[in-house]
Amino acid sequence: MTERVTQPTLDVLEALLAAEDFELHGWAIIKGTGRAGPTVYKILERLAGAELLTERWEELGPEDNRPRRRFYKLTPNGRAHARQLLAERRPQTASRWGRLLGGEAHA
Amino acid sequence: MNWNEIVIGGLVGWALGDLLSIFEWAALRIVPVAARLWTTDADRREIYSEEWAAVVAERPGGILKLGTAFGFLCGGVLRRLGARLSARLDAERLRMYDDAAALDPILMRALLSPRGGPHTAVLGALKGSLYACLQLKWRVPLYAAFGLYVLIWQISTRQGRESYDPSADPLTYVFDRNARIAEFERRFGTPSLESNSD
Repeated sequence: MTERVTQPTLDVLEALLAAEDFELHGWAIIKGTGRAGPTVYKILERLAGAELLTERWEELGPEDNRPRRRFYKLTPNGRAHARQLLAERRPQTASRWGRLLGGEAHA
Repeated sequence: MNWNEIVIGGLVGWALGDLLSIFEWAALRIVPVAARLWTTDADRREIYSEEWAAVVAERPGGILKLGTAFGFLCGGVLRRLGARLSARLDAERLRMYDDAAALDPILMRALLSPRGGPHTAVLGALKGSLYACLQLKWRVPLYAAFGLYVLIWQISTRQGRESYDPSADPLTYVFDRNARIAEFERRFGTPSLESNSD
């Protein structure tokens, strides 16, 4: 990722990194970071474009009558990149994030 | 509390409940529009339509759902406007480069000619002003007109410039100090210090 690293980008990376083996869906990231939906999705798009992020659809049962959520997870490369960035830019908040609500065990 | 108040209260409650479900309904219809504005990629539009609908569904209450959908809509509008503006600026910049590339050789040939007239400096200054002041569509014909004018001026005065004799020019006498000294000596001879001492 050669683009400028903004504070919302660091927030999103922090949230995804804190989720560790969990995947986060869009609303969980929005809620966790406190950033606006479009801001978060712009960043997710950029991260996915740089192949730092994988995404997949939620699998719903036939009884679930609601739109599917999409889950996001950092790739190993993305995790290394995020750790490096956060260590450089936010060394004081390394343990700020616990397990976020809305996470799902990595399939 | 009389019957009227009970009826009005019931109606207001019913209307409010209905309004909230209308908000929810509207929110789910706004999301695909926001996704369409967000990207031109048909696959991504599908993905965002469904995903943002899921995000909207997570919000409690009709008002929050509508607010979230409006948030996505505003994001989509801003992104679309930004993309359009950026594309327009790029196109304008490219057109300007093309025009400059096409027209500058004509003008620059005229301006940089060593035999340019006294107006060449003025034209050089005008060039910068034209870029700053004029719209491109007016700049193009004006540039062409200036370039042609200078070239025609060069061609039409070539004969005179090539046959120009500085010694025959009365202005040379006025501005050339050596020519004035030569003329003085021709008329009165070389001044001598010895004749003054007598």
